[in-house]
Amino acid sequence: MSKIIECDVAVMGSGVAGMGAAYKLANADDLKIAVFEKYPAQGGAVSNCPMSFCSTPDTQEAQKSAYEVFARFSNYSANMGLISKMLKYSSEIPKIICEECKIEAPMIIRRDPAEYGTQRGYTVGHANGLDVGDIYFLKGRGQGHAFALALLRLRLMLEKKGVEFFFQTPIKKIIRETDGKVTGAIAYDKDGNEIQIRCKALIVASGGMTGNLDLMKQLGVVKTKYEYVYTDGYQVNITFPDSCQDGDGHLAVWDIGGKRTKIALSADPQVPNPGVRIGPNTPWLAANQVKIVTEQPYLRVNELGKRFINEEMSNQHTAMSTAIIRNNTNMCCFLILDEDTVTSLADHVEDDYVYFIFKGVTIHNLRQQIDEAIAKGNKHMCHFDTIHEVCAYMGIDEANLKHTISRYNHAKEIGYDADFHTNPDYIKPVREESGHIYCFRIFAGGYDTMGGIAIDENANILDEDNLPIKGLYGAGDMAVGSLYGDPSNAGGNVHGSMPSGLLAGDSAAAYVKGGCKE
Amino acid sequence: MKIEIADYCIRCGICEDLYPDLFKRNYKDHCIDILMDEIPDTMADRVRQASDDCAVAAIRIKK
Repeated sequence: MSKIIECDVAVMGSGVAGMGAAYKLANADDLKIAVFEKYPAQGGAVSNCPMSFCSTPDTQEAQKSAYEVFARFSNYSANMGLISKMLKYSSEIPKIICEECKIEAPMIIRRDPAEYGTQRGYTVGHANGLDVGDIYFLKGRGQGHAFALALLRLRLMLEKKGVEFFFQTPIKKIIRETDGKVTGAIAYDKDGNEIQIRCKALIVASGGMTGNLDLMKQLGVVKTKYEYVYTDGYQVNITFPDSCQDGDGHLAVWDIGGKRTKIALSADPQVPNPGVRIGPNTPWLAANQVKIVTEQPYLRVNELGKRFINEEMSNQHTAMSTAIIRNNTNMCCFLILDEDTVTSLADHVEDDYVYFIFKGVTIHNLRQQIDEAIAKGNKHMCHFDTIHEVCAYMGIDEANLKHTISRYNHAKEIGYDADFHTNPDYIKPVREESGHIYCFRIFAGGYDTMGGIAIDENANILDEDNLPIKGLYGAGDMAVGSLYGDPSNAGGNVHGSMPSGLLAGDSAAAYVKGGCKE
Repeated sequence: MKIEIADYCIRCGICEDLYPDLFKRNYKDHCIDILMDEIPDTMADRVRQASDDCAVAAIRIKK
């Protein structure tokens, strides 16, 4: 006989969205809350990345300006009622993270609301999401990311308030009655034993599906001859290789009639890692110079040997990843440098193009790192004497690349890039005469997949007719299409995920208590 | 001296990235394997640094 767990609200997932939901539910009196997590610990993708977050202040000026940025950015294809609420909740993030979880924010950039939407990327310290608020830079513990500590503290705080956590207990199925209401779910413990969850509302915040290559292929999210780089050993995605983000939430929601929406790989282009990284956190360690170099705004081409983007976008991960996916049949691009540029990196790295924790870093042993990686089996970087050899090794159209390089070098000479309007200061000519040519194959990677389900202005999950499914709420990366219009625009960020979780928590609490949240 | 990993470890792998002689991520069992049962005194400072570097203070030193 199955074990039965009864609660008022069940939460699927303990990343920043699920924990945000649990936080609100725990603050609603007299609710029994249970959080189900497939991974052995809390945190989800956010444990492995953010050292900063964006928060829109709760002032009329800031809220209105941020709303207008979202409206323009999504061309009103986002759920704008949801945006208004999400922005309001966003103002609560500093209180939760900095005051309640006691995470230090040694630096805060206060943005003028009139200037929202004018910057993006590392220029405001925020590679993903939109420029719609103040940017808080956080101090983590040791070499770790601050949100890892924040969500551990949040978990401990919630446990003290009576929230129950069930780790290694994935929800696989949602129970929806004939009257349309969701009344429970089926989960499995780590030994595979079935657990019946009886609840009045369920919040699905299970993140993405990069742990499930077959599903990504089936849905067309990954379509490349290099699909092997999306498997564990290659770690193009920064989330833990065994993050357990396997699309369980998507499948369960779709299975009961939830609307299927577009799914995209998110943000942060990566060179596949054999020989470069040991674990998922290595790209953030300053010793990994490959990561820093591949963020520089220098010549990028696709397999056809053609440029495809203003290279200044290389610090705006969402833009670069999306461009890589949409402008190359194999979802990759190539960064090409010559010896002069590599030598110059020993004196100067473009400061707006390094993660803020690497400010001031210089690159001294790039060729050695490349050689070490190649010796360990990495086939995604090389250096040769000639462009011909680089093209032959990497599979780039040589004639096109030579033509591209000629135009690119000419743009530097005349100080104007008529093709992509890249700032001439960032154009680094590529010349065989320098002595050597370096090349990196870069894939769209990042934090996980974005999108897949749709939510309304109360975070209620919608069905195929755009009607809310009673008792079922969604938040986080899987719902970002409703926030950004196109999930490719989202990038995975706290500003989108935590507020949608907070909203889902408040909405579910109101629903369970007998009133619809307005 | 021994090392213990607290159950709230998030398995992020920073310990393996920085101290591959001491830790290895076990993707199959979703845990961190400790590679030495007994830590020699000569490595005491290194172990203490590993503990300090952990994102969530999950590396504990047991004497």
